[in-house]
Amino acid sequence: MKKNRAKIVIILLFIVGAVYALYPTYRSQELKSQEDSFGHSSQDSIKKVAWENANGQDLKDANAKAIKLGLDLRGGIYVTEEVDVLKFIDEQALQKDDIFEQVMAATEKDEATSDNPVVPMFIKHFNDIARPKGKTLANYFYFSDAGAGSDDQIQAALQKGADEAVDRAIEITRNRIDQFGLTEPTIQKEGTRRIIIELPGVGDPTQVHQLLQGTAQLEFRLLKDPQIVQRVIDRIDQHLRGDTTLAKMENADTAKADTSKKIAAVDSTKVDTSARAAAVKKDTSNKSTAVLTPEDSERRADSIAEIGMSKEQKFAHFTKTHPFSAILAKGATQRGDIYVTEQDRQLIKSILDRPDVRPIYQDEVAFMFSRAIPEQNQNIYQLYFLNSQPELTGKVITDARSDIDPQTGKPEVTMQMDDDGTRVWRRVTKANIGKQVAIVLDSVIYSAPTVNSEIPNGNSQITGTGDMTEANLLKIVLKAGALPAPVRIIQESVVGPSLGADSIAKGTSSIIWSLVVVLLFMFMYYVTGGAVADFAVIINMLFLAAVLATFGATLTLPGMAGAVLTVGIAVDANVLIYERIREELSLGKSLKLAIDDGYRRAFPPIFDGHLTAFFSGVILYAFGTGTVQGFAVTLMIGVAASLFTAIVITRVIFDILLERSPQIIKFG
Amino acid sequence: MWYFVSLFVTMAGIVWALFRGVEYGIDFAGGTEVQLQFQKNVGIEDVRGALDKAGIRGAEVKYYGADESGVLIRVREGAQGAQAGTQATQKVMTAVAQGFPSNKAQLLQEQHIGPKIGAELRAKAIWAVLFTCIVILVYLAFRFRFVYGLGAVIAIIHDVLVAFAFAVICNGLDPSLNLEMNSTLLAAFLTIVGFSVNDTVIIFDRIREDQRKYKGQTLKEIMNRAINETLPRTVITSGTVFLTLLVLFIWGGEVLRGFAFTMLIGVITGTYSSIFVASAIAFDWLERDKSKTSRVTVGPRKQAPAKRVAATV
Repeated sequence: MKKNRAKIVIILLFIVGAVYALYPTYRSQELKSQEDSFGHSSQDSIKKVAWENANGQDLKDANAKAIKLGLDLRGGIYVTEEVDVLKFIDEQALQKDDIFEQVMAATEKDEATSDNPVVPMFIKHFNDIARPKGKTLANYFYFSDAGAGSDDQIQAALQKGADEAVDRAIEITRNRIDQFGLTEPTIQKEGTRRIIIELPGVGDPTQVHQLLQGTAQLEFRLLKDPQIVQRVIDRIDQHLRGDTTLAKMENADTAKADTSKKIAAVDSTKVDTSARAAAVKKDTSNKSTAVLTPEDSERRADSIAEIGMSKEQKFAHFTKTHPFSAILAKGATQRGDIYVTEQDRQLIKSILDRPDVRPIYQDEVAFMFSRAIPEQNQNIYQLYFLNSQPELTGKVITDARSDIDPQTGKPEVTMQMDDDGTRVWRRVTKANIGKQVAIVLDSVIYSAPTVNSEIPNGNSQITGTGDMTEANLLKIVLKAGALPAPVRIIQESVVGPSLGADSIAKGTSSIIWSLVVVLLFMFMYYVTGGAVADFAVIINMLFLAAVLATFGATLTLPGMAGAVLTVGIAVDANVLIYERIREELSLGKSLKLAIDDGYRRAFPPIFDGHLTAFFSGVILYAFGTGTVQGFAVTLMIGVAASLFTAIVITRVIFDILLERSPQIIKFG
Repeated sequence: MWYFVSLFVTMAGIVWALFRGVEYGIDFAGGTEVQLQFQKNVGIEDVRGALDKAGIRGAEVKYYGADESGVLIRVREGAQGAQAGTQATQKVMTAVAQGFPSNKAQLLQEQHIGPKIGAELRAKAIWAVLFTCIVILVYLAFRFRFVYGLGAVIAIIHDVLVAFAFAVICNGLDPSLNLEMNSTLLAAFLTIVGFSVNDTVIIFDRIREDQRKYKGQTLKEIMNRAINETLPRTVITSGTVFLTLLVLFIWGGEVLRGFAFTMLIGVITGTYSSIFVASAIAFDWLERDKSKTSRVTVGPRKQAPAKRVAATV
């Protein structure tokens, strides 16, 4: 007992740790089934909102730490995009001749079969084909920031441009997907020029195609005069007054937002003003849009925007008379900026998209939102009111850079425009000094700097962009207008939600059945030994699940198959040991000695077997993709855990049994 | 003599693959695959007719799932009327909706693999199998003697080829088994590799141990003894793994069925090959060697004591 004390402590620690790691998974399941128990009636959706208020955060936290299910289990869309760097190079070339086309053709051939970086590929072919014919890179390319234009400098500039094209494509993609308002979209770069997009819970691929394809639209739009905005909002209020469908819409929208778990619902009457205040601090614009500044006393009486002491009754009255303003007012700050939650953003959008509402505003005002601003466990968005027509489109931008301003030491973004752009820009800036111009990419506002002075030469500086990361982001966005990043979808898979649910059910039931079969067999064949091995196998599964949860690994259907296989391997280790012990017993050894020798002699083959299985797991992981990697992950974890559970844990149990009641130990 | 049985099965598989071709899954071939669930049973020919009408020619259509309401439609890259891969699904859906107005189809799953990814995955698959073999050969050569490593690797290749042969032929005979070469099947092959090696290593380990114990006996006697001693374990383990796979095969659903089927074959041949291929090859080689050098030992001798220490857990 004594010699095993340390081991027992370690084993117990591991088990407690595993249970602790798995608690969020259990909790998330529990909360989810509670959430799903609400129906779709309006009464239920009210109850649901209350429930979300109480438990939404809990569910979110639990989800974050729970075992992640792969798209094959939960349903969704998986897309791999590839940025067409070759096209980028082609667009950069100022003049093209036959030799250049030959180089491009050779590069294209290579590019079609590998994921290696394209620029070095292009340079290699250029050196092989064009250089012997007396051409240099400077014959085809010119970059203003490439210094003297030596080949090395041009190559570096091409590489930089290509890298930026990939970053830009990622940002454009992220921007568009964020507008979708999904729970956990993942967008990540893979290799040198691929983007992997995972959209859980989305079932319609056509919607995604429209979202991902098409050129990005970059625009500059002036912010609308607050008084005009107020008039338009009044008209919308008037139109919606007494409109019963609105309340329904609000409910339906809430329900929709909940079922797709877009965001944890927030009780909008209890909006935390400190969050707004914090957001204001973050806001880099320094000009108030001043909407909802009451004009007449009557409105002042109901408007809660400026009354800190808004009473429920007054609010109800205001909501009735000004249904649209009421939604906006929930998020208004003292300065008149409006910040809304994800849920309200969807609601506002759905109101504005109504065919009866659209004509009221669309000729005068464009309603657009900022990028998501992370704030206290949720994202909020600033609502802007813009001119319905853009002043300029991003096509006029020739270059954009982010630097540190040498004078102030703060990040700044500079952009240049072509001649046409410069002319318009000069007129716009001259007429609107002191006003804000929004930089809009695909209908999302990235920044709304204030015009300080007339900009005559097309060289603009944007300061006060926050930190360097934000300045870089703005640069990437500005370049999107000039240099579209052509992407193509090279892989896509869609798993319908019903198939996902079906797979979970089948996967789980087959794991349970195979476990039952194996455990029963072991118990019948090896009696006590079998029971001990069964316990070890169960602990193994517990560890496997705990490791998956802890490291955020994804469980896929093949991953479940990997778990079943792990059971086989783990059991094999115990079979080897027990067969060996039986042999030793038949040689007439004492029980203790037989167990000692059995464990010792069975170890080398078990170790070899586990190691080779682990090797194949590693290789599968390295060469496999997506779902196959899921298989490899569970196999590797399971095999590693099995060395511990099947050998160490069972041994400790036998030691304890030998000391306490050796008579019950039987190996069949 | 046993060699001929193995040789026959693997040759049959290769010949079949050569003459009838291997059916690649969508992830290796590239193209678009759409899995639909109709409300009522449909005829394969009717579905094909509906696709033809919409201008999608050369699509492959087959049943998928328990009854005749689940259909798998596969449009190869470059097939007529579906050039742009991601739009192929849309086309298929419209075609089906027009062809079966009273029998609504639900999109269960859709996959589009560009030709590039397909080629990449194929290359990766071959590398994966090769790489596994090399790593195992190196490891076993280090743990035992080179001959044994060679025997084990030949056994692996044998197992993979036999499983491949079964998969290819069974798929050819009954396409509804859905045993095309895809990444799931690749995972099965690599798992077979792992199992086969495990089996082989356990026998080799016993041979090494017995050689130290029974110094006077011939290699043949020792090998026979080792195989007999490990036989109960072999039967029990293979039996339990076979059982778990059988459960997967029956209840695991359509996606895992191909995997489970291939693995079932793999477990059988893996068990068989560690005795009749790996050990036999090592034996034949050493016997031939012995007639030249008359010295038979397995593995570097110094290894044993060191491992003993490690073995006391």
